[in-house]
Amino acid sequence: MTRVTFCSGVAWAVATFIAVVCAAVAAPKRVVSMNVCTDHLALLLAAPGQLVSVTWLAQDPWLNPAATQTKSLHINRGTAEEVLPLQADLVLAGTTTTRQTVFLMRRLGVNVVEVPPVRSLVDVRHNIRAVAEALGRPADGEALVARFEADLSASAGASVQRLRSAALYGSGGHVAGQKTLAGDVAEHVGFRNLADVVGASGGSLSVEELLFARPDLVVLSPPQRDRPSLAAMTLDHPALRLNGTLRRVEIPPAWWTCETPDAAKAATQLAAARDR
Amino acid sequence: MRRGPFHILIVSVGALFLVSLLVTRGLTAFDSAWWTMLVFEPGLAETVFLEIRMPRAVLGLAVGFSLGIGGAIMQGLLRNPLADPGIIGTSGGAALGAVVVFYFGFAGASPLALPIGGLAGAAVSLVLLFVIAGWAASTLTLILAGIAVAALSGALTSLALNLAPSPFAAFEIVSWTMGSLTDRSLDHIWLALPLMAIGSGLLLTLGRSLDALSLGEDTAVTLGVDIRRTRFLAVSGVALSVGAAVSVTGVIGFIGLVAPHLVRRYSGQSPGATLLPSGLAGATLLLAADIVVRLVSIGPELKLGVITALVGAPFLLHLISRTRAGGL
Repeated sequence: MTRVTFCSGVAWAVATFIAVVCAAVAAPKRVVSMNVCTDHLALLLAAPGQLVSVTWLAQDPWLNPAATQTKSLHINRGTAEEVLPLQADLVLAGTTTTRQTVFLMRRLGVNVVEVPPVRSLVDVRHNIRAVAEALGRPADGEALVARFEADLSASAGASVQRLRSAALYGSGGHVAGQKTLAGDVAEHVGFRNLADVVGASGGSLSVEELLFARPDLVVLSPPQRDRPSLAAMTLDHPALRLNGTLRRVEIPPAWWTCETPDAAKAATQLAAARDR
Repeated sequence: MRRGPFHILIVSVGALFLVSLLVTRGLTAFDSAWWTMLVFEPGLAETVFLEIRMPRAVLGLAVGFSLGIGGAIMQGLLRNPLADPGIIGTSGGAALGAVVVFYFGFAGASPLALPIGGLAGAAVSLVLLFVIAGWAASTLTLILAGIAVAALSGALTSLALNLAPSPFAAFEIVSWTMGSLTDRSLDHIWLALPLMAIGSGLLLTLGRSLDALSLGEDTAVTLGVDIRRTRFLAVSGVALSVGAAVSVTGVIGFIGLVAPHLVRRYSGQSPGATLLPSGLAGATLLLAADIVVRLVSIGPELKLGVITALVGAPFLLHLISRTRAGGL
């Protein structure tokens, strides 16, 4: 068990070769995911029957486009009491959530692989490979990364176009900054992130401040009208719709919240808005 | 009320309304960004002005007026200087009603559902208060009952937000318990303004009855005042105006408490004479608080309740010490 942990730790830096060897040693048979982003990757990469349980968040079509695939799976809320009886030989967890559960399970000898949160397109590739290797399916991981790269390369923007600014405007006026996947996708497509221009890195902007900053493009998450909130109300503000000069595009947050190949879809949408 | 102070109130409401229209975060008024926008993109400038700043200023004025007059009415009706829609749980009840309607999807059924939820919550909390305390309750009983109603409605509001389907709801507890005018739109004006106007108008007609009531119920009856009708109209008016106000801004404390005390010195002790000045003082206070929250330009905007409590809580302490000294 320690050997698998060791291998998956090293595999980050070392080539696929070692990973293949590790996979040959022991591919886990019962995998539990305790983080919504590892849920995504496990659903994409696990062999039929290999994945036993995902989090309750993965059932939500708003957060997980593949929510229907979770129907036959056990659902956990990331507590040790739920996960331990599942007799998992691999637990996938994030590095920022369910900390106490992870420490407890390590003490009890469970094999836990932690996946750091995604902050860039490079992280997407890293995390896909890391999870694929932990699952003992590195070839599938490589195939997924290759498809992702192909989709992504089509939308890459020349650096000349970076004069145009895009505001990545989320629920409640939250603005995605540079070290976020959304920010990196915008940069990849050839936009300057408005958060850097106005110095709102990781912060929020009111509707008025957004209009004043005069971005060339406003990227909004579609408001969740079936689940009303004040945060969603901000995105529905009439001032964001009325003005003819404000160019807007809606991108579902699920596409670039986690390290899924859907980030390439977001890039394609942004590129279409760029070339319009 | 003497003319001088009354004119000062009118002028201060007008001036603060204008300031509210002109300033943005960090209190910059017409800076270069604004002029650039005005010259090159007048459409955008118009949008900012009409769709964002106007609703904020109009709602600030109307909600402040509703809370001020609501405080004056409750203090007169209950003959209690501490009766504020916030302290006795009316605002909390309104927030609960609005939260249930808003987060559980009933607001989609009809645009009016949200303010109606607010006024229903306010009405229920007022009726509950009177049932617990009894109509002729002592000052202490009434305040204690009010605290119980406020605590209950606050807890139920938090519970409703925790159970709401939106993942953001639990983070918005503070918006509903501390109040905010940020990013409100013209839609909110159409929703809440008519109800606030009807409620405040209703309350303004009660001046004479309240004056009679202040002489004691028996005297009031001999003066031809229908006490039950007065109470019903007062409760309905407060539920309409405060309920509609809270349903678009959340609970904003202390304005209803402070406003009547500010004007009483000039208007005299008769409750009827404090109604309109209290409304104007409430509007002044809320517009001022909403300008102060825009002072801090870094990080998320402060909530209105932070400012009103910073001013209102010391005032409440002052009031209590005066009450203990028998000064009121």
